[in-house]
Amino acid sequence: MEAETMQEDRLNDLIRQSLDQPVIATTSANVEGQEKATDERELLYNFAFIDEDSKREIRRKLLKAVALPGHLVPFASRDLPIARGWGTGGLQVTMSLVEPRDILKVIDQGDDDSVNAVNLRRLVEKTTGISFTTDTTQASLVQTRHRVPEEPMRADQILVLQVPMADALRAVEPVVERATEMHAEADYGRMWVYMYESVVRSGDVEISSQYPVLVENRYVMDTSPIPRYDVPRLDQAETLYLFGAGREKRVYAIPPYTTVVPLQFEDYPFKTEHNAAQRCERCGSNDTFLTHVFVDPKGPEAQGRWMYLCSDTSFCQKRVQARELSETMEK
Amino acid sequence: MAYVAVKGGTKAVLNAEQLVDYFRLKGGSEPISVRQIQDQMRLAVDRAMGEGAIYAPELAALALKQSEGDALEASFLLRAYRSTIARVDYSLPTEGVRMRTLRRISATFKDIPGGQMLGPTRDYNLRLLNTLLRTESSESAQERLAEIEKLIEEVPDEVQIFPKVIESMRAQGILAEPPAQDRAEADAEPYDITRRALTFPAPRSARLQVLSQADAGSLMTFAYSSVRGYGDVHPTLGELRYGYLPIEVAHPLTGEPVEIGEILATECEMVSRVEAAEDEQDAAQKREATPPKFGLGYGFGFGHCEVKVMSMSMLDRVLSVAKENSGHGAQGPASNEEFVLLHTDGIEASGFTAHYKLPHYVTFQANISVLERSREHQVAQFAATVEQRQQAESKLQDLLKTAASNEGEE
Amino acid sequence: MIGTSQGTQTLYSTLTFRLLLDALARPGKIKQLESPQFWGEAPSYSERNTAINLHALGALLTLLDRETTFVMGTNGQWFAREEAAVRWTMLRSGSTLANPEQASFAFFCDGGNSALFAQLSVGTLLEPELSTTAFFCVEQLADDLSEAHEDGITLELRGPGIQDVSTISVAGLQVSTLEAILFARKSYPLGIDVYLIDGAGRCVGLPRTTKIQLRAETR
Repeated sequence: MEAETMQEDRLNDLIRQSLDQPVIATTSANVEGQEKATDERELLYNFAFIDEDSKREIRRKLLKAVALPGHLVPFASRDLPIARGWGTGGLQVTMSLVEPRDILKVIDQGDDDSVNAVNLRRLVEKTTGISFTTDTTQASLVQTRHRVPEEPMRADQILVLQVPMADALRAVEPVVERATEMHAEADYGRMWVYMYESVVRSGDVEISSQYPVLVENRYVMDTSPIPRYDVPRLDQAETLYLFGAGREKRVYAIPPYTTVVPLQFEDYPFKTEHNAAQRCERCGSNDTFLTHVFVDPKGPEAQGRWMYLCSDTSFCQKRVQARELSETMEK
Repeated sequence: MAYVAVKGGTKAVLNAEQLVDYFRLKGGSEPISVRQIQDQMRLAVDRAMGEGAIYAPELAALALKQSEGDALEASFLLRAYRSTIARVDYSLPTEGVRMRTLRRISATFKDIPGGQMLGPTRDYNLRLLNTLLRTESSESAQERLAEIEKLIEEVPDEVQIFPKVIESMRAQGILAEPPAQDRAEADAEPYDITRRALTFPAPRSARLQVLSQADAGSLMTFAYSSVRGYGDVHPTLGELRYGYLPIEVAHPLTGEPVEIGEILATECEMVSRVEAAEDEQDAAQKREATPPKFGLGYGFGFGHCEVKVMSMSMLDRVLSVAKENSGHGAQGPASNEEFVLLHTDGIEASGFTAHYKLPHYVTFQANISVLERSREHQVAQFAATVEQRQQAESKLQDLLKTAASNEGEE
Repeated sequence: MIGTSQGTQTLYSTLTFRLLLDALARPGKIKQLESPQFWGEAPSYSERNTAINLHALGALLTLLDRETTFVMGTNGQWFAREEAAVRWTMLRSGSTLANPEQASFAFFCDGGNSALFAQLSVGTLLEPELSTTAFFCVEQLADDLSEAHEDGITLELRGPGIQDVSTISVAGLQVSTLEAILFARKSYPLGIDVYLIDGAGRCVGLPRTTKIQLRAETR
């Protein structure tokens, strides 16, 4: 027990050290002090890591993406200290957006504490000095991999999604040149055939994630590997959704109040995985996306077991705390 | 400044970092200096630089030390660093013929103007492990250097410039001119892949940039496949050079070229027969208009990287031929420009391959639910089939009974 | 580039981008741009020695660099390279003047001109994102019609980014220009994306997805 706290203390020291004496000098978040700071300190890296030219290019592309909901806009994706496929697209979008007063939440599979979320947060921390939160309602920007937060996001927030594959047509047309032509001509016949074939094969549409949607009745779009459960959140939302695919070098967007309809057949309508009979064993919710998790035993006598738990860990924690509070108040 | 409290995930990441350092140092041997890597691991440094796409030998050596010799990881560090440097200027185009050559060979002719110069190469070394290297010391290294220096004859005062072998071919009228579109592109500004995303069909300048910073192993695989049979190109090495290339920029005021330094680079020119069109009519017309010639494939890389530039030049040739004959992967994956250019970047390929280590449990949960539904469907289908069969059987039974009773009646 | 405080400029660029992004994501929602004090005085155009709307020009500058091109014009004419405002912009951004058909950005110092606007690129089916983005310096923008300028036109906006309908009043935008804007976007996904910015720095975004209806005047 003592060893554990000692280790935790040591780790807390390490993280404080790395933040106080960053390897990379950052501009201070204090605007007034910034001018003086620029003279005094030699800036090794720009605010938010990437240089201004790169940010400008991404920003120009994001504006076009918003004007063309669901359309893939190519951008000159820069190499970052994070590996390709590990969130460089989402990160570049976030870095182009972030200003000193932002409060950022980073999640992976819905979890703030996932090692990849931790790592992305570290890079942003080192290069911006902004504040972070695990509370979706407190964040101004949320960067996510594979989930939309359970709490509906507002007009003053932006959700940045990490995307591995970018093109919904990849499943039917791996050649980028041809797929681009198909999008240009709204020639989506092969997509419908692909879905029809999956119905014939397995009795229903077999697509489990990266579900294709039709945006504003024009572009077929890849929703990124969010569960079907999250797909309806894209339609007529209050918040702006920005998608970044670093390796594929594409950005795309779903503005608020945009029509986003999953591809489906009349007799095989779009269904989510939701099962109202299933509850989170920690907070009791049956209105969130649950994942099956093996939880280690607490003590030597207890046995570990498989549990259904909310994938959105912060939201789950909130509900647990709310329930505990109401229970204490009742007493 | 608020930060998310150290919980399990952060702890794990921090611990992992400590362990990486531990594994690098626990052997207890003397820490390697960056200088030693730069001097004595020249080829690893060159590979890291080439794939990191930044000419910085000392930084490449540092990156190799940091990554414990993982060349791909080292090139990743360099690429990330490159992204942060402001672009000051663009160098003027330089020609390989101006190279101060250390090594220069050709397979096309036995003797070439200027001669064949082997230079520093292991090509003809016997691949036998040299155990003497175990006991190398500073003194023995100095002695060895002195030994070699005694053998070096006087260095000529003038820098010897070797003409290009392909110029001889051009003079003989056997080297084809590049197709019109390539020439137009060559006169325009090169496509900058660091500033614009690659789109297809890609201009040749974009293709060459991608190949030059691609993973050496991937290029080798594609080139090998194309010469082994999955391609229609039979190449001969026109010229391979390794040496110092001058780098020049335009003076900001006068506009005159100013040399700012030299880089070590390897350059390769492959030639192969320009195949006539398949259509006989076209071929006949072609033969009348233009005699068959050799086409050129070009390879270039930082530092000393022969297999890489040779592979690159072969691929350049294969892809040009494929474009001229409008074949999309007609002769194998190496002829498919999109396929080659999208899958040979080491940083992208390794990053994405490795990303499968990231948690995917949300999508896996979604997959499980779809799987279960498929199973239910399969079970239902099987049950339906079974019922159908049973119905058919009972009908058959009925028919047989009726037939038997009829027979009995007779 | 002319030396100004790098820190202040970087922050201004970032904040301006967030405003421009929100303006385009929520057409009709008026955003308040900041004035870029560090640029000093705005250039004027020789015609009437009128200073250019610095809120608008500053915003444009945050998106320009050596990788993009622009055109600038007023009163039915494109500015030549020698025009002070053009030189001012090129020097501070590294961007260059281009032909209207190829320019990434178009800056109108006034309510625009339909003939000039018609020369701009609407993009292609393969690359609709290559279309121009146009900035118009208008006299006044208002979302509260009671505060509207008496010469203003009322626009009803529908489409992505708008819940049901959004109504704004614009003074200083020619109806013919509005018609040109609508014409350019009649074949989605082709179209030109537009920003309207008034003298006080109020900004409205009109992406090509926004359907615009001119409300008949009732006085």
